[in-house]
Parts: sequence; structure tokens; C-alpha cells
Amino acid sequence: MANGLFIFSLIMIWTMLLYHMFLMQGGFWHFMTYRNPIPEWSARMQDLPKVSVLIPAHNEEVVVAATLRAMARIEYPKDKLEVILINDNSSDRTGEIAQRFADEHAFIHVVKTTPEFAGKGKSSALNFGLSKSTGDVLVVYDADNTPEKDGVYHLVMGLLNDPKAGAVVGKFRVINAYETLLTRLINIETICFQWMAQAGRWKWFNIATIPGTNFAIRRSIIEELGGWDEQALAEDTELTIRVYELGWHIRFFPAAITWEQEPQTLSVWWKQRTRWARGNQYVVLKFMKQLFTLKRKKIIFDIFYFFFTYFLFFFGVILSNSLFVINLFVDIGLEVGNITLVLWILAFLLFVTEVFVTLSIERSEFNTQNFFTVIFMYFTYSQLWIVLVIYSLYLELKRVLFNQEVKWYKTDRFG
Amino acid sequence: MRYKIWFFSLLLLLLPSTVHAATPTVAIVYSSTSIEIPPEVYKLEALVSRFSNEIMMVRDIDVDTETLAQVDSVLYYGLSTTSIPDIVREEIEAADVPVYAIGHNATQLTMFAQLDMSRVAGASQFYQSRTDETVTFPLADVITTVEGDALSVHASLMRNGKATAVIVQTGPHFYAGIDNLLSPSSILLADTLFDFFSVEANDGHTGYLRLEDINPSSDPALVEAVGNRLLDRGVPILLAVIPVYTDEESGQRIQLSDRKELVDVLRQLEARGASVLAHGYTHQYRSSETGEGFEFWDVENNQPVFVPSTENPPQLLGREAFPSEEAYLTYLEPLLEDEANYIRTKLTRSIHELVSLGLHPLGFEAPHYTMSHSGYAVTAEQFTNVFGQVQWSNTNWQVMGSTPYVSRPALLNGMTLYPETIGYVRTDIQRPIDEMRRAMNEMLLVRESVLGAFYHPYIGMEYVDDVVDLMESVPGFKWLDLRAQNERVMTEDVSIRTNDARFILQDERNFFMKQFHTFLPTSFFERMLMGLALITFFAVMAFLTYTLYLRSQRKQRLFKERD
Repeated sequence: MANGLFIFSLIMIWTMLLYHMFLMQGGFWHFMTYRNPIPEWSARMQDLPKVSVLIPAHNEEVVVAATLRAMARIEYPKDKLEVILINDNSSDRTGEIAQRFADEHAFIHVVKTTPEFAGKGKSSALNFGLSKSTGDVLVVYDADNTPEKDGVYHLVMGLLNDPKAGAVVGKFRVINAYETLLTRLINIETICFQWMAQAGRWKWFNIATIPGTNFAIRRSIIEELGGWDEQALAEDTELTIRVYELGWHIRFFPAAITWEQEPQTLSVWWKQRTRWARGNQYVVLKFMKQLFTLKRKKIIFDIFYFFFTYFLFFFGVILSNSLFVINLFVDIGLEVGNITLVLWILAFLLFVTEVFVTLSIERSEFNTQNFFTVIFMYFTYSQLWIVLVIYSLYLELKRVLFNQEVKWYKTDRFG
Repeated sequence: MRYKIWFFSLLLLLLPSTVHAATPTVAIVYSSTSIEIPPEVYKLEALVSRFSNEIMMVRDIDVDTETLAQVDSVLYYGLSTTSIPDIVREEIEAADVPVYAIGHNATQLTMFAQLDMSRVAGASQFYQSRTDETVTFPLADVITTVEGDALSVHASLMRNGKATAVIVQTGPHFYAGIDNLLSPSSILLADTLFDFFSVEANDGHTGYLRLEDINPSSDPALVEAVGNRLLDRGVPILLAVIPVYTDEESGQRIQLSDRKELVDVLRQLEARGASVLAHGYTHQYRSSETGEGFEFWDVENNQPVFVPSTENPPQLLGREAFPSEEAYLTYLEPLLEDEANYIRTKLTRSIHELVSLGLHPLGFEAPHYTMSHSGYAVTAEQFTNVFGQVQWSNTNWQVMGSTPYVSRPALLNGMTLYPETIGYVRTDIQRPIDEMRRAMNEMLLVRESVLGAFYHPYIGMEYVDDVVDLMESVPGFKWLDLRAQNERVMTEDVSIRTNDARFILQDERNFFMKQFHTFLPTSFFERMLMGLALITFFAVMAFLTYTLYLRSQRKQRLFKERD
């Protein structure tokens, strides 16, 4: 019995680890090759489409000025660019600050959500912005983003040169990486996410996930889909799946870079991540039910990956840890040889080296400080994830049992 | 047939240990309907092997004028009623040597012509003249009783208080009316061979006690307790060890090396004087449980094991299915080769694993005593002895038995047989010691007989002292010390001998391979984990290389990005 469970947990855990090993290989490969076609693609950047940049903002007075300053510097033909800041039910000075930029720059507009759209969350705000925009290409940035000046240009470059791409996703970096220990950990995490999950999946399977910010999508697609899903907590994952269902793919193009702010305190981080985890669990369960009716087999695989992450792998880790702890007190007849200890050490080394590769891709990030942070991270930050998933599962369960309404939590910003 | 005889005698000549003082050359001439040498004849040969190193087995129709030219004595064994060919009778007469006739047809030979023989069924009680003992065997036989003049009677049938001769001597010649040498009453014949060959038997009896079926699932505490108790009592016990345990239900395999505690116990017992026997490698074939299953005989098909348990074995065809002897042998050859490979691999693994664990196997015991004749030939490459019983028949595992004394049967290819003769402590009967005593009393009718017994350690301590007391109650009883017997166990890379009860181990497996072997798991699951570890290790190495590469490119990249 105990041995059977142990084998089960080993299989769950190592399926994930092997998959990530594989993704890391793809990610590294993508890094080595993604710049190769840029010269050729640049040459074809002639007949540029009109771009609408959508920035949903709800009480963003702390960051909105910096964001719009970056928008003002965007290098794209101004006659083909409109930046729309969607002031969604803000009770602070967001609209006031934004209006100053709109007055200075003709291509920057501020719109205020009408009551039917107001205060319902990001999807709703984006749908409102959509109705006010005219561009053929929509680019979305969160209100705390400061894209590099060629960011929009590169996103469009990806769409223009890849006719099968419904959307192009850029890379985001952490602007406040060295503010607190937490942001330093998040910085490492986001770098890993982009070079393993995004770049790796793109290279092997032509799959990438829309991360909610720094992406360009064809207007025709959004219109065909009827806008953003206002029910979904993780509207980005939801959108990703629907784009694939239409037969498009999403390109990960790391040349388009934005910088965003990450939570500096644990409580903010906790709320943000709980929303993500719940959102993803919701999406997984929603699509698991209709898994085999999905047209794109690739995306089934990706949903299955989420299912693995939030359920099987998670369960495997919990099980393995429980068995280990119980084994300390009672003999449950576990017949684990030295090989499992070797595997544990290898798992740790795998984590460390994978993070090292991604950090060295971002030239300056592989430094002494981060070297030790990575080791520290394995035992702390990474383990927090377990607690987080338990908590979000609990919330989801509560929601389903007591039929509660989903409430959108907007991440708090730092000045 | 002749090539076989010469083959055997050549083999026997080749063995250095057979270069003893000159022993008589013996011919066993038999009448049988079977083309193959019958099991009974092998048994007779095994009995005679105590007295001779040069024994030939010849079917009556194969005898020619040369056959008996050089022999010192002849044993004629009539397995079936037939007319003995003239040439056989003439040659036996011409040889002018002592003749021991057994079973049917003896009156056709001149020396026994005057005997009056009658067949008697239901014979179970016998009287042995030498010991003045009466013995009753649990199974009744059909035998031949003899009447005649000037006979000296060695054994008689007792019926209704009346004795009728069964084994008689007339001059130098002997006749035994025991047709079936595989029956228990054959021990009476076995004893008379000392008289027939005029050999002075050694006084007393030797015996051994084997702790049976010690495998990774054995309870170390019980093995330790039983083993130490026996060693405390001065019994140089034998440990029949199986290195791999296979569970019938789960198919899960446990290596002895995974059971450190048990290994420690075995090493400690060995250090105190116990000797280890390789009792197969898994003591099972297919999915059966270790200790229950057969390893070297496919019981389902009652044929040798030709293929690994994962494959479907071919049904062995008989001679009659082929148009010629040649066709049959051509068919048989690859099968026997497969069998040899299978057995050789398993035995080698068994020896290597035991040696890797610091044990020194000195002998072999076939699981359930079953093995084909070709299997024994393969075993003889690695071992010098076999413990227990011999499968006399090459086609039916159930035809097995042993000799009462230590022998060197031809079909063991030079290996010594240390017979198991008095059974074991059976927990399924009321008074197991009484049952052993009964078997022992039978054995004591034979000079030099070995009292070979075994004991399952899982029974615990309950009968340990009783068994030792029983065996040691025999006057002139000595324990067999295997380490003093000049045994050796050998594979291509490993050899174990003893000198003055000390082990001489030569292990040519190189250190790396040895380490590798002990680390290499055998279960599918552990192999998978090992594979996983290797893949991960390579990935870690690759990622480390990427990191170092990217770091070395740092400056170039900086300039590139500035461009």
C-alpha cells in the first residue's frame, strides 16, 4: 500500500520534472535561435497595420504616470498608433494624471468605462476599450507596465511575419527586482517561466500562453470570439485556449520586452497568486470536462499540463511528503532504496541548474546574490506554492459548495 | 548407446578427484524396452558409484564380444521380462567374474539357473540378516522371492511370520529380487553391495542438517536463533540460500542485498562454521513464489526449462515425432543449448550475488531437487556437489530419489551427491520427529548411510533440539563438515575452495563491475529509477554546460546588444 502510493507520487512528480527538463532544452534552443529571422523580418515591415494599445486601469495613480511616459516613447508611426487608457471606475487620481498625457500627445486617449462595463474587472474593461478602439491589431499592457520603446514594433513584427499567429506574446521583466527579497524571488521565477514554459513550449509545440500583458492580438480574432470572457478569473488562459480553438497559434517572441512591477509584500503576492491559481484551476476543470471535444489536440496537451500542475503533481508532492513524514514516526514498510535519495538530490540540482540557465540568458541576472537566492528559493519560495494551491483549492471548493460569486482582486501597486 | 558409456567413463577419468586407489571396473547390463537409459539403471549406477569409478551401463542388445572383456564384476538388471540375448549370457559366463543379478530373467544365467523364483505382490515387511532387524516400509512392492540350495540369505520377505529369501548369495554371485530400485526396499540391496564388492564399510554414520529455503523474505531473527542454536550444539549446519525472492501475487522481487540484516546473520553464521549452499537463484520460474516454484524444471509441461519465464515454452517433442534419430538430435540441440544458457546464467548469478554479499557458497541444491540430465551437466561446470535428491528421470520430475550413502552418480557428471535421506520437520503432521525417526531407522540398515535432513527456519526453535538429539542418538554418528570435503564452486570469474576449513576466494570480476553489479537493481521499478537518475544527471550536466557557455559569452553579448 505505502509502496504503491510512493510509486504513484514518484511517477507524478517525475513526469513533471522530465517534462520541464524537456522544456528547458527547448527554451535554451529558442534563445539561441529566436533572433535569427529578425533582419529578414525587419525588411518586410512596410505596410504597417494600425495598432490600438489598451491599458485597463483601476485606481492606478501610483504607476500610471510612469506607464504613460513609456507609452509616449513608443517607436511606431504615430498616425498608425492609438494608446487607450481605460479608466475603470477609479476613485483616485488615475483619470486626472492620464488626462495630462492625453492633452500632450494626440495618440494617447483616456476613456472612462460606462456603468454597464464599470467595476466588473479586467475583461470587462478591455471589452469597453475594444469598443472605443479602431486598430487592426490590439496590444494589451497592464497599467504597471513600462514597455521598451521598440516593444510594440516587435509584437507587430511577429504578427506580420507569421500569418498563422493569432497573437504574439513578448517577454516581461521585473522592474522592481531588487526592491525586496520577495521581488528578487519573483524576478527569478518570471525569468524561469518565460524561458522554460513560454520559450520551451513555443519551440517544441508552437504553444505559448497569453500572460495578460505585453501581447498583440488580431482584432478580427477578438471580434470573432465576442471579446474577453467576463466570467473567467484567469481571462488570459481562457483567451489562449479559445485562440487555439480557432486554429491560430500564439507566438512567443522575446524581442518584445516590457517591464512590470511585482508585489513587494507577501500579502499582496498571496492575493494575486491565489487569483491566478483559482483562475487556472477553474479553466482546467472547465476544459477537462470538454477535453475531447476540443479541436486542437495541442491545446488538450497543454490543458493536461495544467491539470498535472495543479492536481496530479501537487497531489504527488503532498503524498510523497506525507509518506516521508509518517515514515519518520511509524514503520509503514516503505522499501525505498538509496536510489530515491539520489533522485532527490538530482531533483534539487535539476532545479538549480535550470534556473541558472534561464538567469544566464538574462545576462546580468546570473550574479552571486542570485546564485544563493536560487538555492534559498528551493526550500522556501518554491514550497510556498504547495500552501498556495491548497488554499486556492479550498477557496474554489467553498465557492462551488456555497455558490459564491467570483470577486476580482486587483493587484496593489507600489510607488 | 556406446558413445554415451564411453563419454561417461571418459568424463570420470578426466576428473582428478577420481584418481583414487584402483577400483573395480563394473559393467551394468540391463534388459529394458526403453531406448534411453531407464531411471532405475541410473539409480543402480549411482549406488555402485560408491564402489567403482569405472562403471559402464549397457543395454543387453548392445553387448558385444568386447564389452565385458575387462570388467571385474557384472551387474545384470532385468527391468522387463525378456530372453537375455545369447551373447550376453555367453559373455557373462566368459568373463568369469562375480555377477549380481537384479529383478527379472536371472534364471537364464547359469549361476542362477538352479534358483526357484516366484513373484510376490504386496511385500512391505523385510528381515535383514546382517543386522537381525525387521523393517516395514510404508509402501508395498511387487518383488521376487527365491528358493534354492546352499544359499546365504541377506534379506528376506516376512509374511505371516514366515521368511522367504529376497536377496541371496551363491558363491561370489548375488541375486536381489527387488525389481524396482526406486522403491524404498532398494536400501536392502544398497547395503549388500558392500558384501558383493567385498568392501569394508566405514563405521558409524555421518549426517547433516540444512536450514532450508533461506531467502530475502526470511525472518533474520528466526534464521539467527535457529542457526546459532545449532552451531552452539556443534552442528556444522548448511544454509540453503536463495538470493532473490519473488512474490507470487505482486511479482515483486526482493534481492538479498536489500536485506542487510539477514545478510549479516548469514555472514555471522558462516563465520561460526556454517556452510552456504546455492539453492538456485530465485527458486521459482514464471510467476510462482520463491520456495514454492521450481526453477530448473518446467513443471507445467513436465520438461526442462528452455526459455525465460516471460516466453511461451515450446512443447518438447518425443523421439517418436521424428523420422530419424539424427532429425531428433538436430531438433534437440538448440533447445538444450537454451536450457544450458538459462541454467548457467541463473547459477552464475546466484554464486556471484552470494559472493558479493560476502558469503562463500560451497555446494548446490536444486530447487525441489528437480533438474534435467543436461542441466546436471551444466551445473557440474560450476559445482562439485549436489545436496538432496537426484531426478533420475530425464522426462518426469517426479521420478527422483537419492542413494543412502554418499555417491557420485554418472548423471551428476562427477558431482558428489550428499543425499537427503530422513526428510524434514513437517509441521503438517502430528509428530514430525517420529516420522524422521522412522526414516532414520530405515537408513541405519545401510552401512555408511548418510542421515541427511533439513529444517525450515521459519518453524522456529521448537524442534531444533529434538532433531539434533535424534540424529546424535545414533552410535558413531558424525556431522558432515562440508568445508573439509575439498569442494569448490567456480564460475568464469569466481572460484571458492576451502583449505583447512578456511575459504580461498578468487574473484576476478573487476572492482568496477563488482560495484556496478551490487548497485545495479534487478527489479523493473528500480531499473526505471536508475534510468531516470541517469537522464536527470545528463540533463543537469547539459544545463550546467549551457550556463557556463552563456557566462563565457557575456561580454560578446553585451556588445551585440549595444549594436
